Amino acid sequence: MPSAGLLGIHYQLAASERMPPEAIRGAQFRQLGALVDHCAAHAPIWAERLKPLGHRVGRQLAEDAWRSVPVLRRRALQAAGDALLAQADPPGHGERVPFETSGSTGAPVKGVHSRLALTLWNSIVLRDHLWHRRDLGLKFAAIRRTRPQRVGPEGKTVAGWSASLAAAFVNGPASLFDTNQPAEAQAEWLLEADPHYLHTQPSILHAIVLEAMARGRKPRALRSISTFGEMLPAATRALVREQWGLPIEDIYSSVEVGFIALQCPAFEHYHVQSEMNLVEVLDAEGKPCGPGQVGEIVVTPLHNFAMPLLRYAIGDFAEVGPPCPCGRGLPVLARIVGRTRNVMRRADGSVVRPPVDDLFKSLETGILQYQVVETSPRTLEIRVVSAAEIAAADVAAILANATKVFGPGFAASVARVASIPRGEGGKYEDFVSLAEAARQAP
Amino acid sequence: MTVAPQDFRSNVPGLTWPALPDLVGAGALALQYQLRESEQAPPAQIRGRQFRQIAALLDHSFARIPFYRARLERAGYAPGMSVDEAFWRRLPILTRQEVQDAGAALRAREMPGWHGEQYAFSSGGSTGRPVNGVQTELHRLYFDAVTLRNHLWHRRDLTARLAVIRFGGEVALANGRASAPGWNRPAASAFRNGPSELCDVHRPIAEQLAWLAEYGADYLLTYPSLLRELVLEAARRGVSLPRLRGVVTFGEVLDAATRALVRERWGLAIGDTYSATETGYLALQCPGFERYHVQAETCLVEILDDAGAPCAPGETGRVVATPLHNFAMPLLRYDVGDYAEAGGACPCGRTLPVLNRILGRARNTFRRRDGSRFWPAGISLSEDPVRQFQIVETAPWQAEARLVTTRPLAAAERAKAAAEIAGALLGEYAVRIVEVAAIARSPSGKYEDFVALPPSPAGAR
Repeated sequence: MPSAGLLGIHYQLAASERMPPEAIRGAQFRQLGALVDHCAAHAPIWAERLKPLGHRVGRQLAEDAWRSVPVLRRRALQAAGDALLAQADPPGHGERVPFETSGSTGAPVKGVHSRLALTLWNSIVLRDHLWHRRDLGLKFAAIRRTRPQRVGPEGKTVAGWSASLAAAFVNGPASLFDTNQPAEAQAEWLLEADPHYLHTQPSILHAIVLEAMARGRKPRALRSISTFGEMLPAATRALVREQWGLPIEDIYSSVEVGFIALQCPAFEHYHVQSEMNLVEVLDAEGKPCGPGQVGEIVVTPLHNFAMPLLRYAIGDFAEVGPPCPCGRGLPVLARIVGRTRNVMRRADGSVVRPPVDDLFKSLETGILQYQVVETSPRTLEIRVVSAAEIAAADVAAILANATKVFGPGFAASVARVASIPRGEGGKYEDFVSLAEAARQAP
Repeated sequence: MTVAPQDFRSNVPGLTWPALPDLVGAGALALQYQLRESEQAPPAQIRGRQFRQIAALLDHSFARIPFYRARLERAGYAPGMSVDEAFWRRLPILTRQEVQDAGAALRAREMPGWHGEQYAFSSGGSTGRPVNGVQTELHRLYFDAVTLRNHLWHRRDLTARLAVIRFGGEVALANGRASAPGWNRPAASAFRNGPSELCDVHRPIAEQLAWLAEYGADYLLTYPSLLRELVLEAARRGVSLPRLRGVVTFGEVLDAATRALVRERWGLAIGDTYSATETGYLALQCPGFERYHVQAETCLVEILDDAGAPCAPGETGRVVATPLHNFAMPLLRYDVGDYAEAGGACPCGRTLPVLNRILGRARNTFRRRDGSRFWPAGISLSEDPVRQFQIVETAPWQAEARLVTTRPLAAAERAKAAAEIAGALLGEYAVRIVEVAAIARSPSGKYEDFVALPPSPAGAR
């Protein structure tokens, strides 16, 4: 995209993030109205789903009525396949670019993005850098999924953090390394590359810090780290702060819908990227959650006319936060709680992400990694990776902590395992509820 | 300066927010994005960026304009060197006469990359011999960006109607009018933009006022002297302009009396601008105060004392300007011919340098008996029947006040006007009142309230 386009969009974003919430909402619904008009004309499957809305083309969309549109679940999306695509794209939206999710929780989701939607996402990449005051002239490093034909096992350094950034700004180099390389290699590479900024998944980062600790080394130039792709555990934030003295700036995004929320520059909570996505957080009855409540995230990308997704339940849960004192009017998510299979449902129907970290406090045994799996309703298997055998006192402590965290009535056991495998996308989960995953299946 | 999301213009069907305007609009927003950042940057950083841009301008001038090559060499310049304050001060001031004499010798023989088409300009002013030259499309792009910044600073409603009274030139039709669907091309491309109409400055005042009322203008852009005439004409005729929300002035010195008159009669604040044909914008009035912010991103402006040293805040000196982007005909340290008072930091938060006041040209200054100069100010003559005035120094400490009136003045009115003018001249001048039929504007439509004698060769006046 021409660099002027990126700066021109950012001129608007810099203003809109400070607008009052109702003005943001108004602008979203005007954009949503254009998307709905398009669906009615060019996407039969969506036209059908929009019927309860009673929307008439060109009319202002009523916010209350929006909730009458049914929520689309991930499995329904997978089942519908190409039927979700529009029959025609408006002029100027550019070519269709295929995407495929990593499929950490089973079958991947496939679809297309318009070039226009991807162009607009670039402006959020820039916003993230600017919010966190990164010096665009310095060196950037990313450990992420790469294409083997482009980035070999030794990694690669390119000019510019991205094509659009390099077109608009004096931009430093970027070094890339693959997410599937072993942690030792990633740590060695990072220490050698010595970048000013690092961008990677929380679990990769966690493992690299441990590897670097084992070598008694630290990255020298590193100023901050941005994470994406998984829920960021509090333990990883704490580890990076303690060991490297660095902040983490987290990004909440997904392949299907792009940027959902960015961490606030002033606090550890998140601002919804309302200019890109209409984000709803809904309780078990489908009503919007208030501050402090955890609910299911339902996303409507506002610009991907090639493959509209109206009220897509992405499979994550989040806690709604109160308005942010930083002055930004963008809605707040206090925490990203995780995926459906990473939450536990209480007897009253409310969902929580168990604070699994709390199970492993003040232990004698050095714990490298852990995962709690709810294998069947009210049965927990606590899996632990450790260099040495777990001391009996520590097993007792873990079980006692589990009672505090999960409450009574759970059967829990501790098992030492050789490793905790990642999902296909390299994602690490500290809590997995096979029970909840089964419940969500159609 | 926040524009509502629905007021951005999007060029892509189905996309309303964030908007993607056409290329001109996207370019305009990209420039505004940078201007908004730079107006808050630390002053030293702004200065550094100016010198980096000037370094590019100097390299170009050195390589492609022999006139400048000689000057630069004498000042110790070598291509590629970084420019600092010390070097910059060694570069001689370029006078209006030198520009006139040099003519085409100031023009670049070749242009680097894309700077676009070239346009001829002629700055007539009121001094007779014009300054002629060329400017590029790139220079205009930045000029338009500052025009847009001015509207955004003053939170003008871009969807409203703009009326312009100025020199119509080639734009105006035979009836002195012209109209456009927007305020200027970048504004109309980036935003939902209201229409604009122009009326030539040389049309009779009664016609201009009637046009303004009929057009239903929300904003008016014109010269301060014409604005004063309009206010007085409207009062005489009992014409009101209920839609008018704001006034922008340019092209002449705006004095406190005109500000006060417009505030009193129309209840409106003026947003003044300071520009020159040769250089483009030098400064815009701050949206929060009646002082000016130098447009440092497009022009390096120096306020220099008689010894050529920079003036401190509160001191008055001559205005020397270097437009940063006109590579077709660079003007390096060009003496604009105006005087201005340097200012200190502005509480509005903008870090762009401040000018407290624009005082006007040297030929608008009068002299005290001790030889020091001053700019007369504070003449309102806003009561009927005076409609226009011009004070001319005819001999040392003698002034002729030319008044255009709607009827002959009574003896008491003459005495009152003479007293007001004598006061503005600090009691140093004997004032003679002359009633005249008209005071002509210059061909470009400008007009000077005060015209002094040129300095005598011996400096004896």
